[in-house]
Amino acid sequence: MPEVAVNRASNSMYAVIEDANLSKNRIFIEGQGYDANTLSPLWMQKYHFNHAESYIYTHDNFVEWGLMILSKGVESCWGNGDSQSYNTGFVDTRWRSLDFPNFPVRRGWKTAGGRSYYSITGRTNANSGDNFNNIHIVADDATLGTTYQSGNSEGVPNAFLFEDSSNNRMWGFFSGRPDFDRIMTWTGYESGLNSISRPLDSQWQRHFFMGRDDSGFLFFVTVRLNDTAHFSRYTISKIHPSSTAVTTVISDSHRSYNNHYMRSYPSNIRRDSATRRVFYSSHFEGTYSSLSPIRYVWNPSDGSVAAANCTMTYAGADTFATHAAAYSTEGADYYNRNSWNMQPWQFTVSGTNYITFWIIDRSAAFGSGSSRWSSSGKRTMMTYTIGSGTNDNVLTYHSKVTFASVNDIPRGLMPMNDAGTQMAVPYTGGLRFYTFNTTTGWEMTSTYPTEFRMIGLDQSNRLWGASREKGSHTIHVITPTLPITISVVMADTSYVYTGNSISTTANVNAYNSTGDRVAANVSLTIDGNGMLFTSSNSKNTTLATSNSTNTQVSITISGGGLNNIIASVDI
Amino acid sequence: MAITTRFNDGTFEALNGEKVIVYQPFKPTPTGDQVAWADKAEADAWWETIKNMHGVVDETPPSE
Repeated sequence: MPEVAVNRASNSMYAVIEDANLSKNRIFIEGQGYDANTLSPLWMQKYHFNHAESYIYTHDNFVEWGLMILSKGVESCWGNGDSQSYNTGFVDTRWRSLDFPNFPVRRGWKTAGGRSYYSITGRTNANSGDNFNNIHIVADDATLGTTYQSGNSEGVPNAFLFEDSSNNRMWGFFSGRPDFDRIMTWTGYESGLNSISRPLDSQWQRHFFMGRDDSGFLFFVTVRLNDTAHFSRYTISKIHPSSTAVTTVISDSHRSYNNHYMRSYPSNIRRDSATRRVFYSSHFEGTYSSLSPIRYVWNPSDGSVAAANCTMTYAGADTFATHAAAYSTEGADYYNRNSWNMQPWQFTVSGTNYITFWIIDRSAAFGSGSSRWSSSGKRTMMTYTIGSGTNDNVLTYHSKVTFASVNDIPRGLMPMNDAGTQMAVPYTGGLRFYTFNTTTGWEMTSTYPTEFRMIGLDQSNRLWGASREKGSHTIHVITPTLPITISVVMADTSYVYTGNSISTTANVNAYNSTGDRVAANVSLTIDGNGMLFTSSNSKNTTLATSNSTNTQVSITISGGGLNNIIASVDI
Repeated sequence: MAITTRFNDGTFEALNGEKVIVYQPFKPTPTGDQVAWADKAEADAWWETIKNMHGVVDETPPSE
């Protein structure tokens, strides 16, 4: 399904809000309610913006970023400069949690008590210092208005991390200017924001939620951005669920690289067992030298975290530099408020764990992007096979992808399936889908020709995108799992016609964009005069393919010459 | 409110008024090893390096 809405009337409407009460199965597009399945309009059901949004409606945040609230996370994928400008360096909800399937971060949150939170949040223009954050709390139905709201520049959260009903606390984060990052918690959350605490409140740092341990402590990784040496040092903290006191578990974790303005963000968490959760850094060693991650093993039963440097293994005399190069500092801001970062992503296929170090640049098309990504080595992302068992600090080179030009550099990343083997990747000029192949690595499987400002997933795993090619903004829904490839293979590679009809068959299969065989209704047409489909005794037939085995169609060859079979799919 | 610190029985704490905002019963390390503090001076020196990470407590939320 492609474009679904074009906003020509207003430049300041919130693009998409998925109802936080997911049981309502409702999505608001530019404030109007729609059935989430059919996208049919719902009469008189509109998101109830209140008077406090008067200033929001005059702001251009919504135009620039196409803001959306979607339950499975959103990803900002546009910035207009190297640093200190719109949206550079912002980490949106999908990547705030290292364990998103178990601890999702959302801008819409339904509480245990039946209320729903919405963070109607503008982003910061760091040049002007503007912040526009509004919290709405609604009782059951977002069309009926708020029971509480608070609008403020920096004092209310952008999104919600965790609801702890046993301690009567809600947790969230605020990230405003590229330099501010705060973990916030408040009490009495069913009625409003009361007694706000900010246990982690940092300039020049970014906080990532790891989840909770068995004792209820909340764990965070903090990445320090403005060091004068050893960039992207990690601190791991745990916060007491009721007192909010902070205990530092790991401090000053880094590799030795200097003069290098890279944001080396942490990977997602892999759950090996009840006592072993594992993630990786994306640090470098030396100046513009080699990728040298750190492995972190978190034991949630005792709250410990152990860090160990990874061993990187390549074929023969190869090194990281054989394949890739660390990108350099063109356009870097002293405080590292930069638009680019490394985003490691681990996933499992048939019992083997892999990790890919994706490179992201929201402003690749602006500022110094062309020099930052000037060589093919800089534009290369690496994938490694993770060692088995506790040898998972050994990473063995598997494959690489070299992006053809600066405009092909990913501007963001959105995992599309539970296995993590399919990615939606916005780039300058469009959106691509990549699928991981255990032999060849990541392969581009399809392209959607629209450049997005934000993408996100709803509860049905549909990908939404907000773009600006028409009007003030345009909303798209993209389903990447259509059967896009039809395979028709004849039983023999050649036939010799000697005047007698030849009975033969062809195997027909449909494959989706991930390469999985799927069931589909396929229409076949013969282009030529020498053969017919046996069952219909005509040049046309339809059949339903299987998702598990070849589907055979009988063919009668009744003449010589060249014949083709043209396939199409009913969707 | 000014942040104060105390060091008792090998545990360092930072307080905002009466509220403990940092509870550090061991010296954190880059590897995750939890080492006992050598003395109060060592804990105070560590605090100086990380105190900017910790924010205010019990703030009244602003409203429009």
